[in-house]
This record gives sequence, structure tokens and C-alpha cells, in this order.
Amino acid sequence: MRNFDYKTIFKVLVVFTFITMFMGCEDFLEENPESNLGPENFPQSAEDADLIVGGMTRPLYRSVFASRAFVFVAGVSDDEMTVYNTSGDRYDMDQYTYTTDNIHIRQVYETCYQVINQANSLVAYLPSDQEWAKPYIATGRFYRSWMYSYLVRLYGPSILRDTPTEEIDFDEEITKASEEEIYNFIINDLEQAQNDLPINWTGNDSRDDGRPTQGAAKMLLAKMYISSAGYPVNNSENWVKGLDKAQEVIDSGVYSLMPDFEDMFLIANQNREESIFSIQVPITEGLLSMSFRPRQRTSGIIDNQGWYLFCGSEDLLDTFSDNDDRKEGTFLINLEQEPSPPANYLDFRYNSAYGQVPGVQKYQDFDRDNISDYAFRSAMGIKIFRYAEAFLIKAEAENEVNGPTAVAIEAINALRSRANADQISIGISQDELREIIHEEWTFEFAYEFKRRFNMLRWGIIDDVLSSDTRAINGYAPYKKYFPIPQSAFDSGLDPSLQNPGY
Amino acid sequence: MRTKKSKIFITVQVVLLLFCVNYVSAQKTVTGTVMSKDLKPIPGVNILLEDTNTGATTDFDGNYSITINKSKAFLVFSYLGYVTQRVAIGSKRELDVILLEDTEALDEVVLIGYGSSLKKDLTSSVSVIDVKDLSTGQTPRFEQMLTGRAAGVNVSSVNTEPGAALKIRIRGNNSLTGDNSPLLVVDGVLGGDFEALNPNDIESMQILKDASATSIYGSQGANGVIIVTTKQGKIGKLSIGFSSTGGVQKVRKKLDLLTAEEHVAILQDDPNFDFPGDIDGLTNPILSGEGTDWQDEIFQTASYQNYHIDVKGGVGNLRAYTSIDYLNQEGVIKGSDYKKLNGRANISYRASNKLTVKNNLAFYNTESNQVRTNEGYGSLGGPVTINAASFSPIIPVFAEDGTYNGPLNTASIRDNPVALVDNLDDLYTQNYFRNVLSTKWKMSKNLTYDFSYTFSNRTIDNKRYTSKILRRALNLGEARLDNRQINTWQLRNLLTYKKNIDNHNFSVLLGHEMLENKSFRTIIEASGFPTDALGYNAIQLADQILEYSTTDSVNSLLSFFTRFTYGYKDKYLLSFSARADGSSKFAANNKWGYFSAGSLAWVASEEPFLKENSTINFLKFRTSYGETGSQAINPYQSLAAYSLGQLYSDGSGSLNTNGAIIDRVANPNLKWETTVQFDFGLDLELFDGKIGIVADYYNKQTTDLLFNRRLLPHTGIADQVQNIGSMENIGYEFALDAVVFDKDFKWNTSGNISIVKNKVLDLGGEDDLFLVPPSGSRGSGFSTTGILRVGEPIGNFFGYVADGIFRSQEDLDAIDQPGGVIGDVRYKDISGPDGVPDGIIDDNDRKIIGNALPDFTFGFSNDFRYKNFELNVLMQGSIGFDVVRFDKGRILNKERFDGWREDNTDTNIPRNGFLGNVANSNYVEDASFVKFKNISIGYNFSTSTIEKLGLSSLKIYVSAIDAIVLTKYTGYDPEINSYSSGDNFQQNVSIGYDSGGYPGISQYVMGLNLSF
Repeated sequence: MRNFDYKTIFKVLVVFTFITMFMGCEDFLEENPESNLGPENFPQSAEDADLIVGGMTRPLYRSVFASRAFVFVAGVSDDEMTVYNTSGDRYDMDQYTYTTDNIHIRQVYETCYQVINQANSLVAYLPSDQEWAKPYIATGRFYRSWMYSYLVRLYGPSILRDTPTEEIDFDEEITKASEEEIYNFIINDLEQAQNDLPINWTGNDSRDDGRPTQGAAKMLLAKMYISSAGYPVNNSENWVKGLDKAQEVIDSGVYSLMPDFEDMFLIANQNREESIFSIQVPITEGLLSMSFRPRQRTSGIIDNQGWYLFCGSEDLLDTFSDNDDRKEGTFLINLEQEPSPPANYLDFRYNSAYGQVPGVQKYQDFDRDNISDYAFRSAMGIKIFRYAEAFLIKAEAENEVNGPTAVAIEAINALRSRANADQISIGISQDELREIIHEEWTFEFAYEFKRRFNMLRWGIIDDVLSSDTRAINGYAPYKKYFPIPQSAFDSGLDPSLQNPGY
Repeated sequence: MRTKKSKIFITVQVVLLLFCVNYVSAQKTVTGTVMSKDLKPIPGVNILLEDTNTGATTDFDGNYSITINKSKAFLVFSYLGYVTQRVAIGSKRELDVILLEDTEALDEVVLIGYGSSLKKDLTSSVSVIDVKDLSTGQTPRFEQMLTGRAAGVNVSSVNTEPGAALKIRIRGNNSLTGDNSPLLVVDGVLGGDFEALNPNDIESMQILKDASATSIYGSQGANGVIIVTTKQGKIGKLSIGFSSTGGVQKVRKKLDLLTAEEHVAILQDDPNFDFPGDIDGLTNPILSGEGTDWQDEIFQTASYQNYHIDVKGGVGNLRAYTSIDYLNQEGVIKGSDYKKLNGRANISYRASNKLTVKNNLAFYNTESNQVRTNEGYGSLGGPVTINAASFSPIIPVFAEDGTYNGPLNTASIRDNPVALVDNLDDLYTQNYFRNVLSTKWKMSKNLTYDFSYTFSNRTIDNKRYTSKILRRALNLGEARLDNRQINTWQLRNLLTYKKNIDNHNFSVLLGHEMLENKSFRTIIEASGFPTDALGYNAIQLADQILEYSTTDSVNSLLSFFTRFTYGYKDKYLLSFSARADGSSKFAANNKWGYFSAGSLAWVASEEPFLKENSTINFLKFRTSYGETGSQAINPYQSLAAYSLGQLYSDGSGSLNTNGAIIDRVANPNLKWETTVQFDFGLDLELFDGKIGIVADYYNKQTTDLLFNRRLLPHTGIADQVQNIGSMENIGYEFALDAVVFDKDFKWNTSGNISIVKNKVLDLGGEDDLFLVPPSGSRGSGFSTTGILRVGEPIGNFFGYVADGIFRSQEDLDAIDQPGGVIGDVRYKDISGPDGVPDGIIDDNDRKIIGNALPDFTFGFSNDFRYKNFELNVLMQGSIGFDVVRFDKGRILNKERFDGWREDNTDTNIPRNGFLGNVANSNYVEDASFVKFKNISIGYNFSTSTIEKLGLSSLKIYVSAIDAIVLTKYTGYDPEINSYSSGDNFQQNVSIGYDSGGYPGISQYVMGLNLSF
């Protein structure tokens, strides 16, 4: 033992003691994020919940939805809207030559589920026994119902999720719910939500601020009732429910028709008395005005050129009668631009797949003179429900339930008088009135993303698109539903879940 | 056991005995001369009486004189670039010494992780960069010193902006989402800042490449390690060094673009353009002659200045090295520049024979004005170089009323390039401070304890103001302030035990490290400025806030490690290391990672059958195998979180900026990436060391790749960082050093070649992963231009294969290509939905159309010396790789003029020179290059001249840097990587994109180095 160098051993011990001094703190490797909020501590109040409701709208106003993709998927794919492009994903939406990895089909699909997941988190994480939480839980239910209403009508049978994603399980067995199951889910959610939502969020001011109200839930519910009364669920008992719900909205006294049809589409007027629910777009982000603004065919005609991605259709223009204010309120026939002379639509754009077509008047406003400000962005949003739709739902449901009654015809005429169009007279058959109502949907709502959904529920989509000049190039009955995007299968979704035909 | 113990005892006794004898010795003076191998005196050699503070320095003639107060003592002779020699004095009073140059010596000491080793005893793959060779030619960034110097180390100037970092890859890319840059260890402290290193302050540099060398760095070692030591003062005369460099920089190559006259001709022919109606908005068009040369309008000949002063010396127990350095580099694009001031103070105090205390302090301050390059279009207004190449020459810079002219297409968001250069203030400032306090305690003859504590602080501050006149600021004026404060402390404890017993050498290392990194970031962005006058200095003028956020982030690392080495007769060598790392970044289930490595070497030249061989002086075979890790993800990635600060509107006209959205779900299993590497190599020296060869083969596999896995859409979450997938890199390296002539005319040459074969092995079940680089803003046809595919390397471009143009109606009828018209690009029908060509051009016809990884890279350096002159030529090459440039078909290049027209049908250039509205092979170019990185001629003034001037050395030189580049690439610079400053994933996989980069630069400088 005397061979040992005690001094060195002592020194080593001192050093080890010194080192272990630094190891005292057990939680040295624990993470305590100071700038992050997680589901465990958020939301805890109405103020917190408002942030989530606001954040939830972000994917909706961006180009993955309202500012571009949704317009292609729900608008360009109908028989009323056309595109400027002559090839590529955009053109494919108009021609029905799209593939399963079309970017717009993917973005709408993904955005719907992204919003559903946020909405599920509101429903799951808010304390349902607290009074303040109820409108927000109802908001969550509204949002997810709204998104499922798109999924079921654009993609058909869909995967149904009603809880937020908390862990990723790649071995989970995934199935799709039928259209009927999804409609039932939506209707159940909205029936629960409608009375927990406020009449309006903004106090006495009835202005639409993008958050769902009782009116919004009832409109969506009415729409879902009449949609499930049609193709493919065909539950005709729902006609009367839709009728009642539309009447509830009319009786609420919260909304009224704006006197001037065309002015309603100005940005300054977009959240006023006729607006029940809309996608609000920040002025620095919105691309709709620029996307609908014409380009020129030859020079000097249009002062401030747009991208003209989305265009109207000449055939549709001709179906509007000249004394109907909605003709000029819907179509951009002459672009007025002081001090330059007006430009006729025959001078619009220079590469046209379909010849010269009128523009869409409903999205022309920038709410300023110098459109290049904000890098051509504007606050132009998409109106999801405006009050006029309650009248159309009422008219259509009344005609289905009680026949061509005065009640049904009055509802239509309320819209026609506002537009100074000829009145419909009493004494027509149920079929005749049905035909008139179908047309009225277009006169009132052309380019407001109603047409494709209507064609589907009326069961006429195959006939219409098979003979449409553009869709004829690619349409087949299985394309009434879009494909589940390829990206889902790339991420491991069972290929047998693809919609039939794709 | 008994024998061993008694041996230890005897050793201890001997040491004690020596101590006693030393203590009673008498005083004497020893003199002598220190010379190099060719018997030339070496001035300035540092001489130290071992274990004391007594020292001396040789004079101009290599003579020294030192007073010795003990008899059985040793003198230690050391000089930069020479092997330190320890000589017993014995009874001698005169002692002449010959010092061997480092390169000639096998006994060179090489720094390895947490220690050092003799080069001949190394069992792992380590490259040593000879710093002395690099004294000619300026290198403002430390990374440039490595360019082309070492096999397996690829340094590329992916961004030529002044002050921009270079990309260093050691043995390829291991990670997809993690940082692939090597770990920098400066003076023993992990995680150095490349910018903090001044090339003039560097004493030695080594690069650890294989797992055996890097595994001791555990979770930080996967990408290789660069170990640098900085200069220290020497006992003896005070020495002051001064160097100054000045010169000019120019754009190496301008793009050949249309003149006004040519563009007018094209516009007149364009059926979609009404000429002159469409240029009505332009009040003063130039319709003939050259027109505006937008490149000349934004480029300039830029100046370059660098001054460096260092003072070094030592008295008694104290040694110091201090330096200060100033760099001022203008950019070749107007308005861009880089200024850097940095300093260092290294002080070492020998408290006793056993205890040394050191303090190394370094700081820097940089200020850089930036211009917009390397970005998409969209609302950003376009990168300035692309705008310059696409703005029509018929547009004058200014309209008649003195305002900037806009683009011909008024709907375009693109800004006038001159307006962009003049009206966007983008100031990037950094302040950095690091102090390393360390002690070395020789606890006993064999045992050393090292402690060090490091504190560093870094502030990164970016202030930007975009004028109201720029469209990118939405015509509103926009200010953005972004400030990051990063504080780091690190602590290290090391115990090293070394022992030689007869023919057995062994060493044991035990270590402990802790690190904590705290950062705080503040961002404010606001717009709507009534006036541009105050810019970002008065953000309170803005009328709306676009973004405001603060982010706090903390991460910590706790580590224990050990290494054992053993050598028998310097012939059979063995090393083993292990490390345990605990990191806060990783999930609860995987906090700790364990990494180990082993290596073996056999010095065949020590065997009897080679020992007397006159050709082969040294031959060593070595092999290693081990694991390293990478923890390169951001903190908190394993935890669920809301993304805060989402912009939304409530329809009232004002913006809400505080929305919350769930974008991350918890991953309780998140952990390290692990790289397993096998290496086999040999070191060979021939003909008295005149030729040295190092060759290596390695095979690396990285598993548990951290990867943003795309989730099933119905989860509502886009992706999640998971440990999935694997990637392999197989490589071959060969390096040769040779002394070709070593008489009056000296010629040293060294070269290296590296081949890395990268392959993605697994992407977590997906076969293909389409990449969406920011090129998407060029249109929907450019949204997925890259692909990661299992079985293929990273860096693949994906798109259609161009097949000439449609020349006739028959061509058009032959294939169904949507939107195709005569004169357009025609694409090849590669495949259809059933895997065979179907006559339709659609997504099925897309394939891999190029790859951005080179087949091989090389470096080649030649040093010529004749009398006082020296010439150095350094070349770097990268062969067999592609770059994609989607702006090629949009800018106004001359090809446009030769495009298909009614009257010019015999051409393969499409109408208007437009190369297609989808990603296709027309945009891909072979970018192989050979760059003359440096051609430098220097003159060393002779000793007699220097003495007259009272100096100890004086040298002047001229250098041409990147002046000659051999390449077929038609863009500005083949080394471009526009996404090099993107996130790690973009940096790693979106390589080879030229998206409006800063142009390639040639520098011509003159320099002066002197010391006294």
C-alpha cells in the first residue's frame, strides 16, 4: 500500500468533488418553454378562445383556400366560371382533366381538415360546464360542420374526426364515413351549436366579424337539411326542417336585404346587414380582387391590369335579362376607369382559351384608387351566407313541401324586386317553379360558389357537365366527387380508400 | 501486479530524486545557434528551460544565449512551423540545434478531441492544414483557408455576398433537416463561431473526419470537427506584426443581354405585345442603340481593405498575444458591404511549475449592408440581380419627372433594380464576445487536470426599411427590426493520464461537459410610413403593426466521456472512446444518447521487413468504426404547441395579429440522428518524406434521420419531426504532398481528390418525396422541382425532359401536349399511367433531370520559391454536377433574339427564348468548374534590407482571387446555392438552385506583411 501516491489520489478526489458540484441540478435537461403555449395550458378563457378562432381563419383566407384553391375547386369546376390559363393545374380544374395530385384539390382537402382539427380542439379543450366557454365550443362545432359540409359535397364519403390530433399513430385503421353519416354528424353538431352561439358577437352592431352567429349556424343547418334532402342521401323529410330553419333566420329580424345589389359587393359594404357569415380577409393578404381583375388584349385599354385568373362566361351573361340589375352586378361588361375610356370585355386578356369573356363584377373592388398599394392585395372576402339565401332556401323548400304556393313565390319575388327584375306570377306548376328557382339561384348567386353544390344535390351535375363546353373534355360521372389527394396516399393512406373511378 | 507496483514506485522515486538534484545545481550560461536542415539560421526561435520560466529567443543569425541554474536540465526549442525539440544540456556550454520543419517530421503533434497525439501515433483520419502555407493572399473568412486544402473537406462559396458564410461539408451530407456543418472547436471550446476566427490569429488547424476521431464529441460530432488553436505569446523579445491588404473586386462575368434595339425588334414581333401601344406608360423609352445596361446600373468596382496588428511576447510567468483586425469590403452590387472589427487577447500565466492559468478573449463586431438576392418573386418584388436581367433595356432608370421607371408589365410586382438598390436599407449587425478561462494542473507526472469555463454572448441585429416607392413594401413603407441575444456558458473538466512502460504507451481520458444556451429574439414589423425620412429609426411613425413577437429559447447539454489509447512499440496502436450526452431538446423517452468508437492502426514501416527500406519511410494502415450523433433540431420540437401571432381580420379594416393555431403535436420519442462510420486508410511517406500520400475509404450510414414527416391530411397537422429514414455516404479520398524541387528553386505541390456517393436509403415508408423550393413563385409548373427518392442521392431536380421545339403542325399532332403551339418547347413522352409512353404529356412524363452533387471534387496547390520570390497557385474543382436556373428563360438574354419566329423557323430555341412554363431539362445546366482560387506572387525582402529598416521580416505580394474560372455554366457563378440561407432542410436538399444569386467576384489585392 505504501506504493500508492496518496497525494495524487487526494487531488483526484478533490477534482471529482468539484465536478459533481455541477451535477446537482436534476432538472438541467428538462424543457420549460417560456414562449410557447400548448394544449395543456391554453385556452383557458374567452380571450384565449378568441385567439384560436382568429387563428383558425388564417388557412381559410389564404391562397390554400379562399384566395385561390377554393375558387378553383368550388367555382371553376362549375359551368359558370372560366379560367384564363390554357394549361396546368388551373386549366385542368375547368376542363376536368385534373389528376389526383392537382394542387387545388389537395389544398382544399388539407385546409378543411386543418380547420377541423383546430375546431376539434376548441370543442375538446374548453370546459363545457363554464358559461363563457359555450359560444366558443359552439363555434368549434360550427367550424367543423362547415368544413365537413365542403368535404362531403366535394369529396363524398370522408374520414370523420371529432377529436383533436394529439399523437400520431401510423398503425391506426382508417375508414371513411358515408355521406349520410357525415350529414348526420353535421346536423347533430349544428343543432347543438345554434342556440349557444350569440346573435352577434359585436354587441348592438350587427356587423359580421367572421365569427359564426346563431344566424350562421341556422343558415348552414338549413342548407344541410335541404342538401341531405337531395342527392345522394335523398332524405326528403329534411325539406320541411330546412324550410323551418330558413324561416327562423328570416324571423330573427337581425338581417335585411341591402337595397342595391351591385353595391353589396363593395369591400366597404361586405359585412353589413345582408351578411350572415363570410371569410374575412386581411387587406395585406387577399388575392381575390387581383385574381378577378382583367388583363388586356391590346394595349392602352386597361390602366391597372390584373391577373384575370378567374373569368365569367358569355353564355351565362346571355341568360340574364337586361332589366335585371343583377346582370351588371354579376358581370363586368365594361370596365369603367376614369380618366381613360371604359374597356369592353372584348378587349380583356390576351391569351384566351375560350375567346373573350366578361369578367366577374362581384370581385372587382379594391376599396381604393391605387390598386398597386398593398402589392395588389385587398380585403375582398368570400360571402358564405348572405340573407338572400334564406329566401331561396325557403322558396325551394316550400315548393317541395307545399307546392307552388304564394309563400314560395313571394320569397323569390323579394329578391327579384330588389333587382328590379320582373315578378314571378302565381299560378305556375310545381315543376315550373322548381325550374324558376334553380335559375334564380344563378341569377342571385352566380360566382358565389353555390352552383356546383346545387347541381350535386339536384342530381343534375352529370347532365350539365357532360354537355358543358369546357368540362366535356374530361368529365365523367365519377368526377362529381374530387379524388382524395395523392398526397394522402403518399403519406401512407390505404389506396383502397380512393374514391371510385380514380 | 507486484512488478507493476514497484515500477510505479521506482518512477516516483526517480522523479523526486531529479527534483532534489535540480534544486542544488549551479548557474551557467549556454550559447549556440539554431538552424534549419539546410543549415540556415532561424531567427526568433523560442527557447525555454524546461519546467522554469527562463527563456530566450534567437537573434537574426539564429544565435542565442541562456542562463541555466541547474545541471540536469533540458532546453525546449520551439518555432512556428518547426517541430519543437527538447535537448538535454548535460555539461555542455555550447549547443547547436537543427530544427526540422513540420512537414518533414513524423513527430508532428496533432490536436485531437480533448487532447493531442503524435501524428505517427494517430489511429484515425485527421487532416492537418498547414497554416504557414496560407500566409499569402487575403482570406477574410476562416472557411476560405480550408478551400481545396484537404481531402474530404468541401468548401463552397454558395453566396458571394460580402461577409457571407461558406458552406463546409466534411465527407458529404449526413442529415436532411439537421445542420450538416462541422463542429468548430476553438482552443478546446466546442461550438465556435466561424466568423469569430480571424485567419491571422490561427496557430494550427486540424480536421477530424472519421468516427474514431469525432465520436468523442458525441451528439455534436457527426459532421466532422475542425479543431483550431489560436496564437500564444512567446517568452522573449516583444514582437509586433503588421499586415495590410488592399485591392479591388469586380463582377467576374456579366450576362450577355439584349440591347434596346434588339428588344424593340422582339417586342414588335410578339403577337401578345402591342408595340408601341403597350409602352405608352413609359414617357422616355430608348428605342435604339444599347439602351439601359441594368447590370452596369447596379454593379460597381468595389474596394477591399484589411489591416491587422498583433503584439506578442512574454516575460517571466506571463505570456500574451493580442491582435486587432479591421476589414472593410464593399460589395460589387451597389449598396452592399461588410465591415468587421475583431480582436483577441490570449494571456497565459504560469502560476507555478504545475499550474497554468489561461484566459482567451475574443470579440468582433460586424456591420453589413445587404441587398436583396436569392429570393422568390411573389410579393417580394424580385431579387435585384434577376430584376436587372429582366428589366427591359428600353426603360431608362428614371422617368422624365425624376421618378423611377417601373417594369413594362404594369401588373408585375417587380421593382426597378436601381430603386431596389437605392431604397432598401438592410443593415445586419453582429456583436460577439467570448471569454475562455482555463487552468491546467499537473497533478502528478502522469496526471493532468484541465478545467475551463467559457462564456459567450452574441447579438444579431437586423434592421430593414423598405421605402414607400418599392412595390415590395406594398407602396406603404415597411420597417422590420429583428434582434437576437444569445448567451452561452460551457464548463469542462478533463482528467488525462498518460504513461509509458517499456514498449507500452497508454493514456486514459475522463471528461465532463455542461452547456447551456439561452436566446431571446424580438421582431417588430410595421408598415404605413407617412415619410421615408427616418426609416427604421422611427418605427413609431408607422400606422400599422404587421408582426411583433418575442421568442425565448433555452437548451442544455450534459455530457460524460472517456477515451483510452494504447500503443505497442509505436507499431500497433489502438484507441477506444465513449460518450454519453443528455440533451434538453429531446423527448422525455430519449433524453440520453450513447456514442462509442474504436480504431486500430498498424505502422508497417516499423516492422523489420520495412524498417531499413530506403524508399518507404513510413507506412501505416488504420481502420476505425464508430457512432456519432446529431441533435440539430430546435428546442421544444418534441412538445405540442400552438403557433402564435397569426394574422387575421375581423372585417373592421384593422388587422389582428395575435391568432393562435395548433401546428405541432407532441412526439415523446424524438431523439438523435446516429451516424455509423467505417473508415479504412493508409498513410505513406516515400523518399525521405518528399512524397506523402494519404488515402481513405469510408462508409457512413445515418439512421433515425430527423425528418419533417408529412402526416395524413385528416390529422389536420401538416407534418411532424420524427426519426425516420436513413441515408448513406460512401467515399474515397486521396491526398498527395510532394516536394518536387528543394534546391534554390523550390516547388512543393499538393493535391487531393474526394468522391462522395450519397444515397437516400429510407424515407420512412415513402418512395418519393417532392420538394417545394421557393421556385414555386415562378408559377404552378415550378412548384415541385426537386425530389428525394429512395435509392437516389439528394440534390435531384425533377421535371420534364425538353425535346426541342414544335416546328410544324405535324409535330403538334404527333403528341398531346396541353397548350402546345408551334415554336413552344416540346417535351418527351417518357411514360403514361401504365408505365409506357401514351402519347400524352402529363405528370407521368416527369423524371429526374439533374443532380447538384458533384461526381468528384479536387484541390490542387503549388508553391514555387526562388530566392526571395514565391508563387502560389491554388485550384479548386468540382466536376459533374448540375445547377438549375429557372430565370434563364425569363431574363432578356440574347438567345431570345434567336428564338423561333415566323421568319426564323430553323432554330431549336423556343419562341421568345422562353424555356417552358414547367420545370424541365432546358433549365438544367452542367455547372462543373475549375476555379483558380488564388494566384499569388510574393517577395520576401532579404535579411540585410530588413535589418536596415529595423524590421525582422518584410514581405509584399499581389494576389488574384477567383480571377479565372473554367466552366460552361451560363449564369453568374456555378457554386451558387440560392437556398443556402434558408432553413436547414432547404440548405441540405434544395441545392444547386440559382435564383437570383449575388454575382461571382474576382478580387485583385496587394498586401504587405511586416514584423519588428
